[in-house]
Amino acid sequence: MKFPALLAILSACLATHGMARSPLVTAAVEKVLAEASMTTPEQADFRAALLASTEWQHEFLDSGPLPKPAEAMALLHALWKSDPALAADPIDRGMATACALAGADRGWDAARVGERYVYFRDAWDQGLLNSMFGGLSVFQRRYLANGVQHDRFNTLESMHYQLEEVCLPADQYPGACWYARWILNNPFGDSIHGPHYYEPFQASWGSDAEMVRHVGGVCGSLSNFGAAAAIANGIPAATMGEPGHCAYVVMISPGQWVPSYSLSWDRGLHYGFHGGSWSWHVLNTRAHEDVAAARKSGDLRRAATALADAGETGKAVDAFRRARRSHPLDYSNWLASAAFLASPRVPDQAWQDLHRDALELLAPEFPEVAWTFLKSAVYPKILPSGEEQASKRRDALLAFHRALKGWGVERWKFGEALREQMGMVSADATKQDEFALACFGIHATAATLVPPVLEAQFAACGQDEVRKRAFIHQLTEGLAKGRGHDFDETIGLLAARILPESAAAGDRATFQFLGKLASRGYEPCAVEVEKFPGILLSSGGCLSIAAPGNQWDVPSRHWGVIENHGGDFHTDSAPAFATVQLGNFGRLSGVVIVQRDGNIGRLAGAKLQTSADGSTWTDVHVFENPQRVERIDLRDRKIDAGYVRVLQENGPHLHFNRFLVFGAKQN
Amino acid sequence: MSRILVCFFFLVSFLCGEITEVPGFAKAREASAGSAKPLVVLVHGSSWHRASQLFTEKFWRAADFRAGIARDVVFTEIDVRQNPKEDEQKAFAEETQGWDRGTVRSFPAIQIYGPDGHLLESLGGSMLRELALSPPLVASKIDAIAAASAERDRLLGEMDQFKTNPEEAAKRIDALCRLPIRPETDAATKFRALDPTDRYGWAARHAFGGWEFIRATSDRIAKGETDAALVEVDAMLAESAYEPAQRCLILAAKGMLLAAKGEKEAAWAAYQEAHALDPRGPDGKAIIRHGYRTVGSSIPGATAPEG
Repeated sequence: MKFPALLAILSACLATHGMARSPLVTAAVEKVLAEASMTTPEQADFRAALLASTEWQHEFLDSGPLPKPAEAMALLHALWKSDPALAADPIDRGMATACALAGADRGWDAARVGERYVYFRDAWDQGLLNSMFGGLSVFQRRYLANGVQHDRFNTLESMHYQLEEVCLPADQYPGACWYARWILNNPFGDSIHGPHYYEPFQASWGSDAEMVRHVGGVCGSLSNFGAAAAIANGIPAATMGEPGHCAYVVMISPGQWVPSYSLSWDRGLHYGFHGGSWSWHVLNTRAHEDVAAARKSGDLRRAATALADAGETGKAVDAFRRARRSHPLDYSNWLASAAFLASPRVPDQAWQDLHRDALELLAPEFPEVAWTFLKSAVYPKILPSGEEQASKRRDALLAFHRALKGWGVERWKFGEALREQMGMVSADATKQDEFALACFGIHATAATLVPPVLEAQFAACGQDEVRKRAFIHQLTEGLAKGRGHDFDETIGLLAARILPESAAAGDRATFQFLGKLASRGYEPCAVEVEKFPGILLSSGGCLSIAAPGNQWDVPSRHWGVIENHGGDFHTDSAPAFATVQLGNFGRLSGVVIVQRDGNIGRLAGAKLQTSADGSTWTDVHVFENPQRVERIDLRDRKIDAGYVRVLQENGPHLHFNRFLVFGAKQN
Repeated sequence: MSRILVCFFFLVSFLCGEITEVPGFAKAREASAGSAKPLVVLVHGSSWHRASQLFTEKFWRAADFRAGIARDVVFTEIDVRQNPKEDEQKAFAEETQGWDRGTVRSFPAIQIYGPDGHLLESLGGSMLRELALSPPLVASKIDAIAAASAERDRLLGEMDQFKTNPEEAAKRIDALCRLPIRPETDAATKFRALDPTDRYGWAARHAFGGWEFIRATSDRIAKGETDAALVEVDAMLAESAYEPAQRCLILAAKGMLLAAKGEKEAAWAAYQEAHALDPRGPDGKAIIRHGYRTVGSSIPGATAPEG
């Protein structure tokens, strides 16, 4: 066995058993020192200090990804040179290391990085920072070192201002953004979207942070102010983008990151690792909550790399697997595994293992992360190409869906992923629909992911109504066989999505099928009604309303309104309307309306109208002094109709439990 | 000798105020109201902020600081916790019932309340840290506010006597509004009936909106009300009621209105006159920069502002 391999095995054993000394750590640091050309006699003292401290080496290597190790090492050296005593002080050393790492990420020079380091060192020494600062890991300190998106808040002047004027307990920084006023125009009338908003005030105060506090701004300025205030006081924070908005996040206690001024789940952090979404942030911060575990993860990965470098392929495969299975939250383990497996002589089984491990260990809690990894690193290797292999691709992608447990830590762009997957399965629409149907079936019991599955499929159908109705028909048939609360919830979700659409399209079959299924989920209407002669003509038809699915309306209950069961609807748009396409064309004998309890006066002034074709309407009644139950006798009117509606031109709200049309069938 | 010592201690105690220490804000407030003494509150975060802890232990509780306070006051402390548990939150809410945290924007802070609960002053941030370089400075600041509180109480007490004598009432209202403490929260409502003609301009000064006046002027220009607004601004400038800082903003508004009418040279003159009232302050600097950009830069010989 070769010496490097022996060393790697020994290191792996030491790492596995939690023993501190790891020659591979030192070897890795030496490698970076060489890359950074830190080999001159002048740098000897720095090298000696760093290599004498396994703690410091781990801090450098195992505090998050290291995309620019040589640059970071050069910056660390510059900091040490200006303050050699930092090596002996864990807090100063940790902050210096974090500044070097973040400075390399940002492409800052030594002067800029030095400035930030000195700020935190001196503020801590003077007791001005929050006590949380003392216990932060180097990973967490990287957020302090990095600063915020708007560089105006990262200046020393701004930081000192916020240290003095926005010194708060950590849990109050989520509200710090409101120190500044949200105002679109400055007092002179200049818009925030133009170049003159802050221009007059540039010389008025000692810092841009103070200027923003006095002048105000919109979400970008406010969120940057809030995050920068936390950072200036030693609390990790970061700004993040959301659709049309800027928010921020603060770590108010160890491991507890609180989104602030946040309006959406769809967040992109301006400082993050591997990926910017909230899911990535949770993954990364959790991976580094346990510093010892993060170091162990690094040790295992280094040991695996050493085995790979030594040509011990089989052992390296096992070692990389051990690393990612022991520390699945450390995304670097997954990347390292994939990079190694791409080399020759690695058995195909290793890729299957990697695939299975991602499904088992990442997908349930971090589906977005799993999808990103599988799509970029695994599927290109394991999914066969060619139309004849579509079923194999489908099976592999369905395994992803089976591994999911709802949204995981946070919503993500699951619908987009699903559309991509449909395309990966096949270009053929039938095969795509089969895949979507199978996905629906997998998620139907939990219901959470049903709406995005529907949206993705409907988007794929586009304007093809035939394809869409065929899909709905297939999936509702499947649901009809299901029982139990979870299915009822799924049916309710489906009905809420589909009933308004089918009613608007006059698709009575779908409206009836799904509406009747959904009625299992709500109680019948208890208000008895006196019927009119004939049959219930509205039964078997469909109901469409103005603004279905608004905050007061539950479309899954629309079916019951026109049937004996009873249901409800609530419009929210003027003119308000509720239109029944009758189940049978007929000679009308009467209409019974039961309004929802409360605000029954809203029906006053509305008209009852009838139509043969749904286009030309005739007024047959005006509601003057409406009661909860309204019976409109049409027996003497000799009205033949296929449609009946209530139209309220004076307001947006109509809300009924029953809208029953009686008469004699004429079709 | 012993007689001299007795006299010395008597003199010292005569010169030092009596500080009544009452734990718990709610109880301290009662004590302040009951004794007609101002309430001085230290708001700190010693459990999560070492500087707060040092300030509390080495300054606030220090004998030399307390010895420097000449007036009788009630002292209390509020220790604001970080990430408090539910039971801690409940206890804190009970203990600090009636406390308005609104003016405490940074820790530590000192709030001073009048016996009637009116917040007289709030010291924090860089202002407090600069004062804290010298305990006598903080003590004399507290004394000054306590003295103003006593004067306030006297003036408010006299208002009732002069309900039918607008001239005397107006003098007292004006004096009240000029005290170096936070303004009365509802001065206009309280005093309008006593001095309907605003003899000394206290109501005009009190109602002036500062930079909101500038914002309102922008809005009026946008609505096409420039001429009417200019007439009002000229009337305000003819008044002697306004403080220099307020006149500075009124002149800036005049500059905006003249610029909107295309009278650039007159507008630039108004901006310069505004700047002269506050050449080193944030308002004056902002006004001259805006004025130069919008009108001054197109006037031959006009000098660009510094910075």
